[in-house]
Amino acid sequence: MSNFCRAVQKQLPTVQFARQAYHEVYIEFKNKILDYTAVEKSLLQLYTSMSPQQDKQATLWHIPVCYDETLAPDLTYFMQIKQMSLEELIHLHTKSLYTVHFIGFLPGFLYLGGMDPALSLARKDTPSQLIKKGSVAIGGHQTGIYPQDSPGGWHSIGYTPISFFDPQKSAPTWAKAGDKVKFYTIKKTELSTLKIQIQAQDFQIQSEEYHG
Amino acid sequence: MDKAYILSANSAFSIQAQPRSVHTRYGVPIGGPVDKKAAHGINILLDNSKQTPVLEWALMGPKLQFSAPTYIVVSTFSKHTLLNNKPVRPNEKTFVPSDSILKLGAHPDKVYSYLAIQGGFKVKKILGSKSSLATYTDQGATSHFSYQGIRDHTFARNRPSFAFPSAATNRLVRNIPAHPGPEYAQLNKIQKQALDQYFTLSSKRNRMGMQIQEPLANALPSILSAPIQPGTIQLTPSGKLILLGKDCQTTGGYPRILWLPSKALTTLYQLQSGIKFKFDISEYS
Repeated sequence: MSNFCRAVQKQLPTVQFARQAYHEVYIEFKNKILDYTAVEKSLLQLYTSMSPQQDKQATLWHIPVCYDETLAPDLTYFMQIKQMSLEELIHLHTKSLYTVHFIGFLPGFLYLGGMDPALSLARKDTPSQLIKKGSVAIGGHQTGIYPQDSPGGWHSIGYTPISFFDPQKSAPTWAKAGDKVKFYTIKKTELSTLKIQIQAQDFQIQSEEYHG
Repeated sequence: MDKAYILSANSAFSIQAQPRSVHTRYGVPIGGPVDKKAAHGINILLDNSKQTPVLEWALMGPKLQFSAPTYIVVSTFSKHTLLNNKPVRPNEKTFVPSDSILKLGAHPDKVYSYLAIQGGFKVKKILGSKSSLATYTDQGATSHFSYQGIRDHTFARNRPSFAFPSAATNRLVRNIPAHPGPEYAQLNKIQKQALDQYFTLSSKRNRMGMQIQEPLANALPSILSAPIQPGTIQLTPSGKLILLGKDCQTTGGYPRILWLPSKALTTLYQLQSGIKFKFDISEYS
């Protein structure tokens, strides 16, 4: 999907740009479409010409998360309602290899697929006024990180000091659709050191080539 | 660089220039002026290029002080728009002496108004555009936008005015063109018929979206998050209709039942809350 989206943008001269969600591609054309059937045909041709292999080249990112109730206001509630220990929660949340399906909702918000169903919890009936930047949260069957302070209906269960969006950069997010994300747990005592490193730009997100 | 200081602000304002488009793939709102034609029009009167950064405000605008002489054009008339306590004619190049104070008021009918300055406001380009990433509410006395002041006081009088189609002053606005959205087909017959009523614009609105007052009974369930764009009309699970604006999110999980062509989006966005309108739904061709 993600490579198809990139190919649409690169290879079809009539296309202004293309972006995607889970199962839909949004394409903006430079001019009004006069021959819809021809456009449909060229898109289908491009789609069928793509090898499944092309969608497997990606980067795997390792993201530190501090699962601490002082940083995650909904952690205690979450464990209570799920009848789950902290160790269990951390295990379930860090073991999965998540796929970045697309970026949406907020600038730099990654839609991650692949969460263990045991962690699913319906969104809050009334959204919180403020979910802090860096909050690692669960909403329904999804998990994600709030890239900025925002109102939101997800349950905050952890915190990461990693920045997901930098408008000063030409590519403001480091992750792209199709990439993989894995979380690892850090203690609150490690967090302050990490924050200093990040501030001093002395920290690089651990990453590796990923071949599905 | 000379500066236009924001002395005070009552409601939301922002700088708007070209939309972002490509950066929507990072979840960045597309942005750009709500009323493109108005913003472009006043830029042309100043010999600026069409997408030169302008100041956009909703209803009552901010109060500004200019550190150096320049020329401006405002897009709408308001008896509250005053330059050194004198009314400013809309769509006319107006000289602004040094240290002038400009109060930007609300137009009686239109919600969004624009201020263009000769040479444009000098704001930093972020992600390929000079459009604000957020709207300002009150930036306090110290904030400012830079511009290129003029040093020679040559008046250019009798400039031709730029004509605009005036916003509907009628309380009932008919024929807002709309087309079926991807989830329109999931509506039942009664719901489709209900779309033919007069709807009212609620006061819950900003550059991200506008809520419509009348709910639609028996709403549809949420969908898998899918692309959305300005002009999309979403139907929430509680039956609320939301028209998405220029700073809307890039993806959403509510059914997209209608979409409006960009001109119709501007028309609705320029209408004040409480005004009733009716869609004219037709297949896109």
